[in-house]
Amino acid sequence: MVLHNQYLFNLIRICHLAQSKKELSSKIYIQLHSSTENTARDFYYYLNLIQAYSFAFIPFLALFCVNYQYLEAPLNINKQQLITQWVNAYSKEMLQWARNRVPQKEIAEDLVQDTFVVAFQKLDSFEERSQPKTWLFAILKFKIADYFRASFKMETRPLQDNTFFNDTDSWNGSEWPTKWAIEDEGNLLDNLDFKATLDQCQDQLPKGWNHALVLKYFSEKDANEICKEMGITTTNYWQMVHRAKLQLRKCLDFSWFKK
Amino acid sequence: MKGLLQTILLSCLKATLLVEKDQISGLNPAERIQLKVHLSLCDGCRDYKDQSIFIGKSIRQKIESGDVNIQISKEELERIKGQILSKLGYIF
Repeated sequence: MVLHNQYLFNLIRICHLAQSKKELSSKIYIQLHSSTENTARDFYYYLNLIQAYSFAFIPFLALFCVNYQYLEAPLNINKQQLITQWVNAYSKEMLQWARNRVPQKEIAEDLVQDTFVVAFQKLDSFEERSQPKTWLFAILKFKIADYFRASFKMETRPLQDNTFFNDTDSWNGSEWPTKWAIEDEGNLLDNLDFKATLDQCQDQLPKGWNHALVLKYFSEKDANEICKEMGITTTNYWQMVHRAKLQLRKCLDFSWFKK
Repeated sequence: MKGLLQTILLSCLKATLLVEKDQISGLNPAERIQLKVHLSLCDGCRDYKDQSIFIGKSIRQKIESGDVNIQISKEELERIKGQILSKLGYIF
């Protein structure tokens, strides 16, 4: 049974007003007030009980529900406790997860923060059946996708205009790629200095291009899904990757291989 | 030679674009042949292809090694938690 919170809150009010349910409603009242051990599960257990109990009375009991105000404050306190609990329990995992998916750590922190804000605002739509963790991560995923989408939209740098190729679309003199001397590829990939250089070069890219480039490796989704999610065409996507790679190649060439 | 490549086959710009497309969503048979012929004649684009694949590998490696490496110190975690809670405090 999936219950909407607002509906449940009305039920508590109804029960509180109805004398015959006084015992139950006072239990809920205690539940709402009790501080630390109060978990969402208990909370919903009581609500379910009431829902089952007073179902038959709802139509006419509702007529009596005039003044609920005294119940609003405790409900809000309960929500705050719940969110605070979640922050303590899940924020570390969420941060680690976000940091692996977003290029800068500050942005990962912001996104986790936003996730909890949204979670608090949308707490009414949280269903008892789902795990808080799953729900929070779903919001976080949405936030991350949102972030990438915004960064693509904001990226206005033209893709066509570049200095890598001449008017005949052939490599522009000095841009002609030359072989990189890579002795041991695996070794180089683990080299911390190389990683740092790669980081620097990626930071020099326009944000949207860098995101286009890394997104492929962040999610297991295929390109079509990514593009759909990001609101860009596939052609646009690989053109962006192309530009990013050209620039990154040049940067690595200059600051690592030709150094 | 360069002129011939561009008029009959692909330009280097198009060829490098196809190199990326190949890695992202794959090529159709016609594109694959065109690219293959271009690469067999153009050493610049051949190097570009190797380097493009290498860059992809290194980005993947960096991300995947990060997956296990990310450590958040206790102080940092407390700081971030504090930030989250104080932001929530405005809304409460």
